[in-house]
Amino acid sequence: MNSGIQNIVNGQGITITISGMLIVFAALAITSFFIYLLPFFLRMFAPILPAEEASHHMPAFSAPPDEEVLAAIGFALHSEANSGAAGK
Amino acid sequence: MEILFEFLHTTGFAMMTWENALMIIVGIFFVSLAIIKDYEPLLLLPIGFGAVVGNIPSMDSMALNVYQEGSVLSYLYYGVSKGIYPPLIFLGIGAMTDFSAMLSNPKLVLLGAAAQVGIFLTLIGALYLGFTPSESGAIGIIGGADGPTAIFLSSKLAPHLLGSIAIAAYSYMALVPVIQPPIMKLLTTKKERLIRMKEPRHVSQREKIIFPIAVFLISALIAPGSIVLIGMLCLGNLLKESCVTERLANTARNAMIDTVTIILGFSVGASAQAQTFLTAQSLLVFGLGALSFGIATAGGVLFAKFMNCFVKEKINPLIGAAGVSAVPDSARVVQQVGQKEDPHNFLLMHAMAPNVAGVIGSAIAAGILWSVFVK
Repeated sequence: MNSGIQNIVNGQGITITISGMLIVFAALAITSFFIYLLPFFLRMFAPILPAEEASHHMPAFSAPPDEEVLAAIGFALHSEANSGAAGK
Repeated sequence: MEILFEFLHTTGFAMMTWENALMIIVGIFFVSLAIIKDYEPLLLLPIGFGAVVGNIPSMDSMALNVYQEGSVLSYLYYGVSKGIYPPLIFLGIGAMTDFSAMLSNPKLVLLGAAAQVGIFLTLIGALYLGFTPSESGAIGIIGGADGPTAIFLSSKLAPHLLGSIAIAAYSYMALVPVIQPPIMKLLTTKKERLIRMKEPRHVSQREKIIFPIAVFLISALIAPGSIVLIGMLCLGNLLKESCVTERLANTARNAMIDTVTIILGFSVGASAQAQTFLTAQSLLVFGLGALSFGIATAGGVLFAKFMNCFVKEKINPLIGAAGVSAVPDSARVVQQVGQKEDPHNFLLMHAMAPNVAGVIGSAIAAGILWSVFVK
């Protein structure tokens, strides 16, 4: 097993460290710059793109529950409960 | 009577070595740390118990341990050795991570890059100590403070070191509250620790939806080796932020990540068998791992101080320590250290920005190392 400075040189340790850090910094710097520009882009395209957020969130109101559906659910639960009791 | 004597020879008591006993004690110590000290219990408890299970000696013909072909544990370990579990964990992390803090203050992303210096300087240290370049890359990634990334990369570059690297990475992640504060205090003045940062701005839902797609494209195009980890992270986040796949996001951040964490932790622990784990190489891996964590923390803090020379709105340099990607532990540590100086200073939200940037940064670093050292 080689060790010491020569192993660092043979393994190109310094080159990998410098280029690796540069690439990580470049990737995150571009990401950072993109995040910085994103609100400006969104404002620029606001007239073209549909209005935001409301369409993606939960509906602003919920429809009143249908009485027929409620009755059906109630009947199903009642039947299930009865059949379970009979089984035991 | 002969059968009874033969059976007695096959018991764990008869085959126990002092190394196995020591590893069982280490396993119980991990479990105790998880329960008593609450250090990363979700990881340390299954790892610790796995170490206890993995060190019960058994007959080779019974195929019980993780390294024996056909054993049940070997099937569980398959996901570790082939790097399957880490991307699934990343999917869950993506589905539970809110990138708002990062989106509201993009310059803090750079702190997540600075902390990756721990990975690359440790690589040099490992080379100096005589490890091969591939092994050094796998050891260096411990400094990313990211267990799944460490497992993923070591399964690709140095499978024979996987057990010790995984245990080192998860142990140090659990010890973030112990390792980081002294370094943070050493490198900052009281005045710096008292810096209050501006409230983060409101981030629109559209920004949150576009971000995972954009960050994936940027990272994957620069370092294609990071496709799997960053891809799953971004998919998980898109499931969360799109608001149209809430069921999938819920599964990813709850049931799925919990299931994978249990199996991953347990099988990693079970792989820490005395015969493969108690070696001089493992001790070196542990030493380099600790060094790596320290350098990463110092790198983030010092870079925050460096940035303060140029920016108008000062950054509290403590948040640089959150650049290591132990999410959210290192951000919590920043909050605790900051509040010791000023109980009304809330740094958690600000620290989450470098913290999640660190996750992306360490995955990119892993992608770079993989593409450099892949044969």
